[in-house]
Amino acid sequence: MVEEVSLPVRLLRLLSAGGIRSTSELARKLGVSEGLVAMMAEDLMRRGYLVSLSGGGECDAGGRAACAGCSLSAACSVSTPRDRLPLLALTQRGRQMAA
Amino acid sequence: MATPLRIPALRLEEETRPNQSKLHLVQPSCHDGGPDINPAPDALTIALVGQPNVGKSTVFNMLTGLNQHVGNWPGKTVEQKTGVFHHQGTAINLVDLPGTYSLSANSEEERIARDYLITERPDVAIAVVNAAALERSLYLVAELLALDVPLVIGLNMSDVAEQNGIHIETHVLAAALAVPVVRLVAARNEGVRELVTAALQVAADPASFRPNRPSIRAEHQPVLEQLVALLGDCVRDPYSPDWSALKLLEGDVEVTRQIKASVPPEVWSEIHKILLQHEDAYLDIAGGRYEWIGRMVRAAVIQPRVGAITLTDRIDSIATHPIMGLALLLGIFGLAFALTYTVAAPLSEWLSGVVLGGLTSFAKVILAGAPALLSGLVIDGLIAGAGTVLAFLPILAVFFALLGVLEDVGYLARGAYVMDRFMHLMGLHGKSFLPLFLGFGCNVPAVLGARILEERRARLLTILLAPLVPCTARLAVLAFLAPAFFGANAALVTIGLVALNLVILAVVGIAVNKMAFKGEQTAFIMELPLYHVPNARTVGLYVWTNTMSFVKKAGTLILLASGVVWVLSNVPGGDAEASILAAAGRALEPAGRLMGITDWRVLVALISSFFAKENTIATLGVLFGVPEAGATLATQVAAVMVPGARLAFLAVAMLFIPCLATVVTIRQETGSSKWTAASIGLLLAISYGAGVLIYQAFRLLGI
Repeated sequence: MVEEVSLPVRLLRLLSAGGIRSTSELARKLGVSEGLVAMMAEDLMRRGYLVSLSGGGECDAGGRAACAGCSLSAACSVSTPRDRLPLLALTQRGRQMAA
Repeated sequence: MATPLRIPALRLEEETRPNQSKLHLVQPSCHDGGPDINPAPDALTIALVGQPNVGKSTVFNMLTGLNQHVGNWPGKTVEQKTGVFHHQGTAINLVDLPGTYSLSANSEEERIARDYLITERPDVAIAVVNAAALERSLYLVAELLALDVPLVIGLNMSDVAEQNGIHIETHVLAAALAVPVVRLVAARNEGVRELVTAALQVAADPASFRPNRPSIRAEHQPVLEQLVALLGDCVRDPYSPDWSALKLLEGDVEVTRQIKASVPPEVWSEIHKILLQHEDAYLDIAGGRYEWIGRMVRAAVIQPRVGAITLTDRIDSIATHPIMGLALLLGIFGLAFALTYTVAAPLSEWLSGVVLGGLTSFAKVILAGAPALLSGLVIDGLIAGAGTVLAFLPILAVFFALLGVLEDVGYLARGAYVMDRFMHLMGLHGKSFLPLFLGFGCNVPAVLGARILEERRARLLTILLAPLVPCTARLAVLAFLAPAFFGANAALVTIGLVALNLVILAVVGIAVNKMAFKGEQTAFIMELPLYHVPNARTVGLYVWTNTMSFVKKAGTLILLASGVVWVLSNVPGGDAEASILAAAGRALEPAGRLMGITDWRVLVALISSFFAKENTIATLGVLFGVPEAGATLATQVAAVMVPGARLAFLAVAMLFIPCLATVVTIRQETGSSKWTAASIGLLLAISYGAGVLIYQAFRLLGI
């Protein structure tokens, strides 16, 4: 069965509805495996439809430097790579595609 | 079937016409003294393709043994391995292509592998793929099938996949792909011979190789045909116009460059126009591949067995549920506070009584002959202030330990997920989520995190919200005072205050959303980690770093603040009640009266939290003095307020203006004093408003 829109576009549309979606939820809604969702997300990121918000972004770099004044910065969720949440957001291009 | 006797003849043949050797084009450019392996010219050529670290080299070594040559690909720094071996009497040239995840020519390795397959046309390619990452492996297979090279698949690492609960039915996969699939355990040499046999069968009858390829969506068919027509004869031989057109549409950099160089400029401008019109064609082309992968996986993968994955799913059906998840979140935090109070509060009391008392007596002895000013500063200032703060170290340690466990188990990510759901229900912009989530540890990174919002207006309003996130320092203050203020109900009160804080955050958030984002939504994918047993070392490290940074702060900023508070409470006359600090505190009394707080010391403590939230405790310690035996600082403070005022005090402490570090960061990030002042003003109004409302409500209810 061929869907009317392709899988990556359906993924972008699900995301454009807003809010946090976990990979497992997206996989369920698209009827594919989580591995495939993760792979598509990476691909969409490379192609500029999604952007990564964590993992070496400006906020991380700035964060650590400016956290120096705060004694509890170590408790901050992004201060260690382990705790960093892999977050992706739609770019302008991604939003247009989903519209 | 060839016999081994053919081999010497072949070698002879090769010597007479070496330049026609199929492998000649990719012969190593340098010889490094290894065994000189001459490829058998009329032998079959098999190319080994696969992702890096998938066991490809193991297969290569098993097959060729010592009959291999290691060099470089011509003109490249990438290692080239070739070898000769015999299987069932057939001489085979084996070429180990560089490990690649795809054939998109994104890297040197990918370019080499792709160019080899296109220009050298091996008789058959063997794809060694990772069963534990089947989707990624199939993507490579999809790209290989597009190259029109006969293919067989060696499914390696099935054991790893089985451990992860993924069971692949090899024969079903082979049928679905219409490509031979052989199960391998390369490390134990299992299946390697069978793989080569399958490859030879395919090579013997290439015409019968009709794999099930990913389809191209119908709407792009005319575009492709248009491109093929434009390309005409300009595509050089080994590259087919169909493949080149597809790659152009995909936006393949390498192919685009080649085509641009080889077609007349007017043709290129036509092609370029079409490509611009179909900029997003990639999504459909890749989509075709993804749908194909999805079909293959659905067909051949037996759903994960009951184990870690489904356990996570089952817990998550509650933990990430919009309503039950939120209830669970509040419950878990309530429990965490209750545990903290039960375990750590007595320890903290003991510390402040025995240790702090002991320290005070010790200092009294040491400083017996010292000037009154010095002993006052040390005993009533530094020890009573910073010492008191240090006494709640156990509370912090236990609290951090619980937080560390929740984090390591994988729950905190769910908490964030549920919180976002809640915010989302209220219409808060999704992109504000990350900065706000950061704020839970400390508001400073929350303010900095607002940088991810491109629009200045949205960024400013998110910065405005950031200090409303209850940071751990404020939770610690709450944890210190709540048990003495509310006894057995402390945990309930605490979680109620946290909930109040979150509701206020959501309400202000809705307003911000209406003003700044006009309902426009941006979304995230968040990988929720699998639940797992917490690691003692990770949790220990978490507690240690957090507690130590707290100790550092107590030893510096809070120590200094304690000294300043003591000095201000002793000038001019040495009598605290007549000091300038008392005068300042009393000036605030009319405002404090509305929330039932009439003691100037408590009001001063609230104000001092501006320098660091923990200062509230330190200041109370200095102004109330080291408690007598049987009493604690918190009970002494509780005694000067009625319950309604106590609750109002805690609410104000939670919502009060951000600490100095946060304010400085807000100023730096917004570049505007006006916004910084607005932020302080907003928080001041919210906290005071909440304090007054709570106290007045209690008064009306007669509590």
